[in-house]
Amino acid sequence: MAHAVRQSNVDLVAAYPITPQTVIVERIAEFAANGEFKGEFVPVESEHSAMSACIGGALTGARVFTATASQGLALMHEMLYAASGLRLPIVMAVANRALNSPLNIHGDHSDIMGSRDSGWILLFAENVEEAYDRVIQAFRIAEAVNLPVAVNLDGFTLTHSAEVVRMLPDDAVESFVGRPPRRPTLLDDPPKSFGLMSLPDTYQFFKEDQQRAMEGAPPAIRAVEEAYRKISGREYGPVKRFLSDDADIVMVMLGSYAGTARVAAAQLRSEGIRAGVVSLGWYRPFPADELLRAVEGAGSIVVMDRSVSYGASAHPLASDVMTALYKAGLRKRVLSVVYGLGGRWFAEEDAKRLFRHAAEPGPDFESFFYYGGDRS
Amino acid sequence: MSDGAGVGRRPTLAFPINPGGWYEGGSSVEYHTNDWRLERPVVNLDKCVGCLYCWIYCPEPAIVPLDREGRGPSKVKVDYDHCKGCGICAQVCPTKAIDMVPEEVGARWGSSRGSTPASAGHSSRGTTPWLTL
Amino acid sequence: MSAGSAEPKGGERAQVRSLLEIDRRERLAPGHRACAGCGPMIAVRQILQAYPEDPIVVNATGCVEVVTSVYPETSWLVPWVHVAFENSAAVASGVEAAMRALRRRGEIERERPVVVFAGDGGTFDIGIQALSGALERGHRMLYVCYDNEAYMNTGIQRSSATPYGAWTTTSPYGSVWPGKREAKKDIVAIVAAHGVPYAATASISHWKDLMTKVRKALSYDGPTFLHVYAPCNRGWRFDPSLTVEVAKRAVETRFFPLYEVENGRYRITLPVTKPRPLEDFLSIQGRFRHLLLPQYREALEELKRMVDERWERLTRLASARRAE
Repeated sequence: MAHAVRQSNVDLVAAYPITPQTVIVERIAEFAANGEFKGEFVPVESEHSAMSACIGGALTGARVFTATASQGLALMHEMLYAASGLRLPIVMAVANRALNSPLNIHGDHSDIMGSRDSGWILLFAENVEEAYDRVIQAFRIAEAVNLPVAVNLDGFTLTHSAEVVRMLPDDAVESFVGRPPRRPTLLDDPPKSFGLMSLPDTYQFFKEDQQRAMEGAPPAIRAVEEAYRKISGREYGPVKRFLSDDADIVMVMLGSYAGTARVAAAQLRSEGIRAGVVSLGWYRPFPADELLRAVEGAGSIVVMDRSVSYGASAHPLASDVMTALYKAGLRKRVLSVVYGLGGRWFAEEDAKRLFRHAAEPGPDFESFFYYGGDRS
Repeated sequence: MSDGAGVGRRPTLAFPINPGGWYEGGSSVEYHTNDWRLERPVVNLDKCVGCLYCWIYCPEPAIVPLDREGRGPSKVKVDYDHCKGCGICAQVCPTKAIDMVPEEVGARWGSSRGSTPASAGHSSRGTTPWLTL
Repeated sequence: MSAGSAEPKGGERAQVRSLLEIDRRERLAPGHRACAGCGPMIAVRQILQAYPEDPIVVNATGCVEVVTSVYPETSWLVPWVHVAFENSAAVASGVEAAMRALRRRGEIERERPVVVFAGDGGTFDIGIQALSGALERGHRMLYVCYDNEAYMNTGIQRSSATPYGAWTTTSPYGSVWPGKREAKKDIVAIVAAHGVPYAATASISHWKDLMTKVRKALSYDGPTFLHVYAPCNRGWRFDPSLTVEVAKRAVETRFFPLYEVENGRYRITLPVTKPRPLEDFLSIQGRFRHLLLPQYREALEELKRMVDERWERLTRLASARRAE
């Protein structure tokens, strides 16, 4: 991640330490100390100020980056809306982590789901290389549609893992990202005012425009992904399908446990269970069409949520999946499963248990918390 | 009463909705605050010595130096489109060259350009200054 | 980003002697919706006119912000941004740091000056963390706190800048309370404790002193701070024509001393050798009028004691400097 920032002609990094994101910022500071990072590193006194400084920096036309997690994302919540409302192409890495209370530093998606509706493009990475790739892409995506982008990666699972990353050469990345295109800034002449107050006669127009920008983002994201494929040979797209074409049961997921589920799905074929996995590369904008194409043949869908929407009809990802099905007039057996909260383990055997359960006849809708096998 | 497909239609506005809500600086001059005024300051140019105290203490600014380019003493005129009639200029004037004169009903919103009564601000957004957070 | 040179580069040059040397090109347009006779708007105008070039303004949420920026009408003739209430120092940090990066890339020729306008709520209370961070990091900016001694935009609630004994809607006087029960926070001392090169108080009534201080602040390469007394006729309950007079009396009664802390050294810039009675200041404002009633005599004495004590402390600090 830090390398992606170093290579992407970033002008300003403003960040505050928080586990498990700290490793990213420490590396950027190291690069800055050695002159390898050409931008300004601003070690702010809180995440709220991190996003505030990013907003100020972006308003000069500069390219800015920050990273956070959990409580830090919650603290900057207010500023997430300011960043998107001001239509600033800020890029942020979120090392997804559980929220206090009780205090827990391990991975789940409670943090970003709490900011789901803040108007940011949300991308999810499954592994370290993907996170590196997505950060580089994110700058061009953000600058193409004038919306901020958060690249999500599971805390600890991805932030503290040793994986092989096939980094691209510095010059390849630098020429891929180029410099930010011109946009209205504080340096313009004649001068402009930014962040005006809006009364009931105008406010809704701005909000509708944000929604239109988000709805119009998919072609721009696809174009960046395609351009990136040309320099890297790697492409992720809105959904990543595994054995889903002929699957009876499809597990829909966000983040790093998709790999675990894929191993389980492949093994279950020998048991005669036709399982498949769909992992979302984009969460906002929600890739409903691509998702539907991936699940249309399946009888059962297991939607895996690493966060809770207390009191809701279904948890966040399950709600999105069911809404997509409804809009397409499809009725299927849907299992809304909450798992992996606060870093709770999830292994191949756990995925298999869920696939086997979903293969059995059952009600159209089921919802439960899954704990995984004993690990004492 | 149904208006059919018009239900989802976006109204048109007289000004642009700029992405992110920026706007070209200084546009508020179009907004007239003269109808806030109960008294108008009248400058006695014979008494005015051009010290510009009224100008530096005006919160609007609605005091206009007659010599805007120069650096010498400058007598002033009042921008009656924007003056709210607070009376600070009369209060701070060292030669008492400014009198506060009650606005007459009917003519009290007259603009500096003539006696035409100006409308109460140019837009329909209201003139309430006590906007709360 | 150094903490600044030991002596101002232009201490002498900074001195503003006459209004006639001030540029008459306005940086704030009329048509804003501030109340008639608004003190903070006078502060904003005086500060902007003192600049030798157009600064970038970062504005905290508050009266000045809302009255000058009702879409599509903005009163700012200089670059301006508002983001939120508590973070203007952090936003300004980002603006300043990003300009440095852009200059190094050769995309801009030089950084423009950055000025923050925040009220007492946005500075003393909710914004103090972001302010402290920005001061410690040493960003080059002038942070201006326009102090009207309460949350006026939300309807006159007490802040930690509200003086002892003052009435606000959340510090009313009654049979038990004398008005606000706590003393005003010493924000300049807090700022100065960060080791910034320049921090000062100023009053809209004393434009020469105020504008000189702005120019002094600008001569430093680092964070500087100006605490500007800006009466609010709505919240303090006085006639709109008296805004400047009230500010003047605050200075003349030693209620709001004008001083500066330059490289750690205190100097009273307007010595008040023969102070007017404090009642001259209190009696023309509704928020203090109860203190003149017999049942609040103790509170009045307490307030007078606070005013005397602060003046004595300032005098001691200033004389410590002279003794050096």
